[in-house]
Amino acid sequence: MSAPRLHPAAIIARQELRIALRNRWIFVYAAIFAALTGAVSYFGLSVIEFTGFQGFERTTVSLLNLVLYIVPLAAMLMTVQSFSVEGGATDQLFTEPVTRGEIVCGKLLGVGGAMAWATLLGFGLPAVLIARYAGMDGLSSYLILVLSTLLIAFSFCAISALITIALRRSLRAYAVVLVVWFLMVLVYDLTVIGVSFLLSEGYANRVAFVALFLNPVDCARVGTLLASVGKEAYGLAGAQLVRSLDGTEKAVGLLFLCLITWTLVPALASNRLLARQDI
Amino acid sequence: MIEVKGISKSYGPTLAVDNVSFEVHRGEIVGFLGPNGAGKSTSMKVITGYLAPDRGTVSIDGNDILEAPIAARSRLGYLPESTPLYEDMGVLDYLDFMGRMHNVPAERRRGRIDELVDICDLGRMAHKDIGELSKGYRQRVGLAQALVSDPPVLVLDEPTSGLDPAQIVEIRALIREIAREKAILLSTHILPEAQNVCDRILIISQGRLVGEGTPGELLSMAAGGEQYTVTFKGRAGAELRGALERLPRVSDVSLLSEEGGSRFRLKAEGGADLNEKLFDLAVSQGAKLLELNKTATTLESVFLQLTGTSASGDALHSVQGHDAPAAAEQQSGAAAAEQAKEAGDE
Repeated sequence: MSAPRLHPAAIIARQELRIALRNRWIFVYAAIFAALTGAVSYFGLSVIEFTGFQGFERTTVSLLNLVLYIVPLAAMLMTVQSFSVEGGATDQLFTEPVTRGEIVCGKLLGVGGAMAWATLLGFGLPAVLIARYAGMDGLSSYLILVLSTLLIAFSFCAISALITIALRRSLRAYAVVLVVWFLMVLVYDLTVIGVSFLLSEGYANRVAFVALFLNPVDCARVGTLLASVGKEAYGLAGAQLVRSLDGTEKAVGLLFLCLITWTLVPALASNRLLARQDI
Repeated sequence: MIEVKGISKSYGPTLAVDNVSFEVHRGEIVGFLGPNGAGKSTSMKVITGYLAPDRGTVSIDGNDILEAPIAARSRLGYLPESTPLYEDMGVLDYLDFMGRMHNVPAERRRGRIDELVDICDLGRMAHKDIGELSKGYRQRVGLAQALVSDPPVLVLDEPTSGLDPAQIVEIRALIREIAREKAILLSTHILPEAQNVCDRILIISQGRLVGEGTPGELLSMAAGGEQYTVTFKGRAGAELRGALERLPRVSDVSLLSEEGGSRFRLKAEGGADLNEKLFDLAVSQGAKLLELNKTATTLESVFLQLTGTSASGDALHSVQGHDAPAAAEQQSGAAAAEQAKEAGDE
């Protein structure tokens, strides 16, 4: 008796993963990640003339902003490459016995899997050194950072898939994802702060609170900081969230749930859009 | 095996494919012939389920491409024009992936891939990455992937595009070899390819079918349009011209030159053989016959007749029920539609 057939989405995911792992960029990404993590941990306290590996908790806080710059960009660029139809390999899939939903699902799983592999490698290798030289204290914070990195990567993979499918052509998609990255990672917080300054305190609090959920980068940032060092570490919106939910754990859970929503909604929208689209 | 009924497809306001219908049966290779922008690729994309038609139906081995797309596509092997392949994949990995996609059981997949590597002569390249292969070998990989599930229906879009002459001969032979048990629709703009490989030819122009038949039928359609070139010496051109025009079944006599003899071109109506009559005329006129050439009818002339005249809006031949003059009315709609799509894509 023959082995049961793998679900078509799993076949495509496996293929995408294999292609990504044969592509040297994913290794470059993993290597840069590992080097940055190691460097941040080793030189993080050089301003106070101390060199040597910091503990996991301090490394987590030092790394967080760096992760939130790099991961969304890498995830979006890799996804555009995978979903682009110009190469034609994606075109061919549309004529194979597989639904468009399975194509979206398979490609996202494949690209997400490759990002996860590179992220785990990038975090894992320095973690061995940190554990060896600085001990295991704060490991849970570091693991929370790994988890939020994975979630933010998946979110931006899904967002990028939606953009690429909507625009159809990779050149446009590359341009738009760069703009989206710039807006969400760099401009968004400044805008929220600027708007908050213009409003009365009550409105400003509400804007900051709502804005927290409208950007996966902020969800990841606040969620990781709350989980790592508690509500003291991150401003008004985080504190308000903890207060309204009556506990840090619930606030972190809600923020990570929001990150998952930021993955599922664009993924489902991509599926819906592609199903209705003439290529 | 392939049943196309009244498919139409528009890109915005422009009609790329208009009411195209045909069938391809088992054991038959049907050529889909047309100039660039005629609607060939759009038709192929509709047939393979890549694009949904605005109207009409496509059935692959009894399965409607829209209502039962998975069943229809699982009976279809498709070689797209640009041979899209994963450049970073090895040849064997890629064929294995396509086999999995078509649900070829693992125990049969290995053997089938070995067989295709042999049939498509990919042995030396089997362990290379696709990105390292020449255009010819990529085309072979593309053909191998279309065949990996041994589908009853094959749709090949420009299968010899970009190949050198030796590779073209090999690929054509390969297509003929695999055609015995399959229905094959082959798109091409190379006339000798259609003539040599296909059992039947469909000619599309400006989105509509303007001709259909076996190569022989299409050639006989143009029979009657054969031209003769003759050169006489010893009599004045004007006198000879009058004599030629009086010959039965001769028309369109034109004097080409009078240097070193009077050189004429004339048309034989209904495919009449004029050799003997022209020789007798030379004798009766007391002239010497220096040259007698018959220009054979080619598929090219049929193609130009069916597609070229349509562009100028002249009357077209109606072959086996296809309304060619209606295609002429569309002007360059299909070409404009494909151009519009390409422009939009850029």
